Amino acid sequence: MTSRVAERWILLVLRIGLGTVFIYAGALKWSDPWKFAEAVAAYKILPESLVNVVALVLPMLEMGAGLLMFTEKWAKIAALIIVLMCLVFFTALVWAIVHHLQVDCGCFGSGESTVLGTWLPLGRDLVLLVTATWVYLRARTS
Amino acid sequence: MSRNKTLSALVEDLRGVAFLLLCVTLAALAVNQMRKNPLPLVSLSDNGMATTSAMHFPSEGTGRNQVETNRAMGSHLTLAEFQDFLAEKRGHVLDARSGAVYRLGHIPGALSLPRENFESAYARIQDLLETDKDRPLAVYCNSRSCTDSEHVRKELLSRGYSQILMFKGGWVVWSQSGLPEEKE
Repeated sequence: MTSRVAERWILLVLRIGLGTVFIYAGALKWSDPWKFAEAVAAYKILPESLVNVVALVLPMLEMGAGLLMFTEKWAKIAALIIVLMCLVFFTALVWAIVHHLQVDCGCFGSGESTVLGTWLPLGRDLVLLVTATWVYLRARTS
Repeated sequence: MSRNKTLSALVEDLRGVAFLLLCVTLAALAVNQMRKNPLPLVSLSDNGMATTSAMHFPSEGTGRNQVETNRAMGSHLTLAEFQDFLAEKRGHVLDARSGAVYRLGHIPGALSLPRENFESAYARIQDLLETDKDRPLAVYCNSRSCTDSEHVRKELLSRGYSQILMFKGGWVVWSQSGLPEEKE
């Protein structure tokens, strides 16, 4: 019983934490879509015709998922969206490392344009991925 | 049975994700259009191919008009023109990207003049640039979609520099073309 209560509290804290992180990250990107479009283009993954669309939709998706994390009803879906986004970010960062691209991560606005700046977001992304996956699985059963 | 249930629950969740993605996409596009300077979805580059945000700058019109304006002003350099500019040593080349990125690799001979700390960077190279303010300056940043070079151009214009050329392909086009790089 106690462990179940503890788990609910942990779930709540993680939901609020994830929600806050993604609202913050999305808002930073949304505040300067030009800069974010540049960061997206630097990965050289997407065709140029899709760069701006992604630069517009992704921040809004992050903010939307972040906000939904605060609701009991939609937290599960929001967690799944975050899991999928983290997988996309992870793939993009690995791509950048494999191709020796000196990219601005673009994760929280701009300014992480070093080689170390690609590894750091990769580790952070993994933490977020694991956390969101746990929230998704627990929110399902709670 | 349990596996089927899990799978169907996941499919149900993915439906929810798809629905939200649709809503978010529509909202993002709508809100973007309400911006003072909306990010264009698709525009035309100088070679006529569909591309994104190629020549769009917040305060100077958008899309094709901007391309035409730049062409009319002769301020937009293609890669070949930029290489001629370098070969003929017509003027200084300025890198508007951040200092950290500049140090990792830049066009040989380019001076660092990042948008982010323009004032201090400008102070360092001011004497060099001010010897002849009518001498052309070529500015670049990361790629076609970056705006740093445009900000730097505006700062330089306000300081009396009259001939500022833009190499819009920037670092991405330069490095993808296998051209030599310089590191600091």
